[in-house]
Amino acid sequence: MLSLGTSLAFAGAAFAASLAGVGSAIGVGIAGQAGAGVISEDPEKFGNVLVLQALPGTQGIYGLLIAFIIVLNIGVIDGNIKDLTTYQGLALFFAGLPIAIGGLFSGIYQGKVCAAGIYLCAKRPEETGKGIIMAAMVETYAVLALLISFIMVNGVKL
Amino acid sequence: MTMPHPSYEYAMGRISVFAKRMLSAAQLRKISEAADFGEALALLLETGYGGNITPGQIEHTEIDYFIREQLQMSRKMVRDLTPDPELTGLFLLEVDTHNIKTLLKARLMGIEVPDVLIDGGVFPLDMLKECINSQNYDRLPDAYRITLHKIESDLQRNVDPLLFSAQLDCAMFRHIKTVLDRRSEKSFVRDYFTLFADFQNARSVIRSRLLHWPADKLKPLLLESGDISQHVFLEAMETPIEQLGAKLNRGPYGKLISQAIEEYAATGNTPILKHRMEQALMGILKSVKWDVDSLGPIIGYLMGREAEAKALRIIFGAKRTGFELRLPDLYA
Repeated sequence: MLSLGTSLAFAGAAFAASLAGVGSAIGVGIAGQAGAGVISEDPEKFGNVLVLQALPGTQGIYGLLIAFIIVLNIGVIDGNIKDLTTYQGLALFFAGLPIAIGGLFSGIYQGKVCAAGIYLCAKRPEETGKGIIMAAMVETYAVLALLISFIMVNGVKL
Repeated sequence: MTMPHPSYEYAMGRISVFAKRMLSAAQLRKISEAADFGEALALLLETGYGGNITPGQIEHTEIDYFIREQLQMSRKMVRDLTPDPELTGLFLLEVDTHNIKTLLKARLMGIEVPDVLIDGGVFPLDMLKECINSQNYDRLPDAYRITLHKIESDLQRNVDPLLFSAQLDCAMFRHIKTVLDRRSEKSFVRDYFTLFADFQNARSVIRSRLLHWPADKLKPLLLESGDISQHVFLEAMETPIEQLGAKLNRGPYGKLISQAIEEYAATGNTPILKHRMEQALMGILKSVKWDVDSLGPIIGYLMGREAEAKALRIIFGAKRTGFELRLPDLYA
């Protein structure tokens, strides 16, 4: 039977992957609907629209990365699951939260900025780059969340 | 099974492509500066307006139909893609009200319905024709149904086209107010119609004063859904012109009405009131032009197309008759 500590570490990994993934899914969904509207009238914009639609997808990847490091560290991948203390488990649980919460909200808001960028691309295709830069500003906070989650996960001595 | 309504994101994606095809103020100015009708038409078609049409394909007399057809297509497109058909429909009610008035007048005069009927309103044209011909208004919203029954009973005694036209305008605003109240709507849509009603009432006061009408003749012309109470407008009939602006300076947009009236009082120029009203209404739409999750850009596009059609009709009317023209406030 798994210890409470190990279970908490699993919970941290699950939150990191799922919440960041939900944020990305919503963000990509918002941008995708905007993109479909533009492409239905102007299919030539597909290339630019695709870049903007894909941007909110990164939060899901960051969440997956942190979840993967957590499960790797506790030995799930090689089949030897470690017996963690409650404090070690709690530490890994909290380590997963920054990218879980940061990824959830930044994914949604980045989706909205990307949708606005897609409208910009429809009206003034030559300014698409600026739309991408504005969307990337939101990405900063997902990267910061990833960074702190990564440092925290690596800081837990097992 | 009904189709789900498109999302705001999808609708705005399509609108942002359509909006590129709207004529800009600079393009309209260039068309208005053309030497004659033919040159103006060539300049218009050069912009891509109406698709791949050449000037030779349009007769001088057909330009109004052509502009109307383009506007009807825009109205239909907006109605099809809006995520909120009920609120969007409020902006199309003017079309229905125009059609009801036209059908009623045609019936009274015993003539065939002229081709000035406009498609693209909320109610299907065939349904309106049936309603007017059978005098059965059960399929219309309460505000219209009650008003039309009253008009029908008034018509037994006498016919006053001005009065029934005003009654139908009031019915339209009453219906708008009913919808906005039922939905507890607080967005720009309420602001738009509130300002519209108040400004229109202020214009009715000025017009009634110029015609030396008594206050009770003004009363049926006053629209509901405004911020300013109707008794203020009735009192305004007796207010000295230099104090009229201050008297109507009430509510969030009272200042705009007040400034327009003061401008009128200083110049005696009546059309300035209509111009300032159109500017103020367009100002509300422009304030929500960049919203990403509201009807603002969608309604803005629709009303922008209406303003564009109006500007084109003014330009081509002026080119035909040689009158001096003044372009309305534009959205693009």
